[in-house]
Amino acid sequence: MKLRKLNNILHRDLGYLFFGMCLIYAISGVALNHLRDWNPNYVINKFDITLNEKISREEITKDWVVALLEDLDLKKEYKKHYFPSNSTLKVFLNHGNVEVNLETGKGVMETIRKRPILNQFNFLHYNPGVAWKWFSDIFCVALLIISVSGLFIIRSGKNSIKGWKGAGYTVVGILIPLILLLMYI
Amino acid sequence: MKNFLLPILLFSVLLFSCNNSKTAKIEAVPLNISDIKVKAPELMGKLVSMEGMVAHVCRESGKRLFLGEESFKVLATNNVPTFRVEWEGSDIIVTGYLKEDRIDETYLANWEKELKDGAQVALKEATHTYDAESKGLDESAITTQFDQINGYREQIIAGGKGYISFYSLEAESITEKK
Repeated sequence: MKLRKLNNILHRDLGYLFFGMCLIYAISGVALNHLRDWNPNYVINKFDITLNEKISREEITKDWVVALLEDLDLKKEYKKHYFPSNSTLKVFLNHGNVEVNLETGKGVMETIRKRPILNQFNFLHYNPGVAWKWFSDIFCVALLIISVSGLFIIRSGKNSIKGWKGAGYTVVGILIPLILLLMYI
Repeated sequence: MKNFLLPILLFSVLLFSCNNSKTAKIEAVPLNISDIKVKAPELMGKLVSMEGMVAHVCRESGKRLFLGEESFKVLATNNVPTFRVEWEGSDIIVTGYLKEDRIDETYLANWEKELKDGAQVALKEATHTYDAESKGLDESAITTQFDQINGYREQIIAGGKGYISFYSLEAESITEKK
């Protein structure tokens, strides 16, 4: 088999095989790049709440907490409750939590929902286990092969690696990260 | 069949790698959260296991978890890369290695210098606790950080050891108790 034919076959087949991985890393990469600007894993909403009447820590039972959640349309969400301090009640929900200051009667309800797809992609991006570690290592090697073989798909002309466009684009693609590196160090 | 040689080969390598990843199991020493300050010095470098309710999981990164009513800090590692927010309120067993961060006058002086030089200092992982977060303190704010520095200085003087220790656990595994 000719070298160029092998090159093209590798580029094509590895491209197909790792199409899914490229999507996972590209999408989660953008999501995690902007970690400071948003929460890529969860949709979190906060609501202020006020108790109708004051209650002391000693008077609070599980039934009282469940009744409070019923008022908030969250009856089935009860998971557990505890007191982080004498004046604070924290209720864990299946999808969020409620924290109430018992002295002021004011509190915050936080509802949490997983972002569909993004949550799972980000979970994989963070390398959840041994099998994924090896698979993603293989993906990285394949990405190298896809990149290098991509340079030699076109034999000649302006779009080939020997042409002004192919060579020019490749050089620009290497120069941009180099310039950014020099800017940061 | 020949056409699927590459995916089959890949799958075989994965199975092989998984079967060979088993390492010798180290017995973890059980540790109560309330005993940490007393027992931590003798358990440094040893695998310990702790049980407790997940009081909080860091929303943004998922890299920190606070365990029990004492809100003891557990950190994500390569073996447990992130913690799930849905674990909040659940009882878990976490194994890992204790980590001690000693905060002394040199540490505080460097921190203070960074702030005075105008550097934007993100919250210090070594001293970050759930206490500050639950009080709604913005630990990246300069005024909060100066207050923290002054507070730690007082604690160092009061302790008489010349430093204060912040303990955390670097997680090796986590099991949710059903």
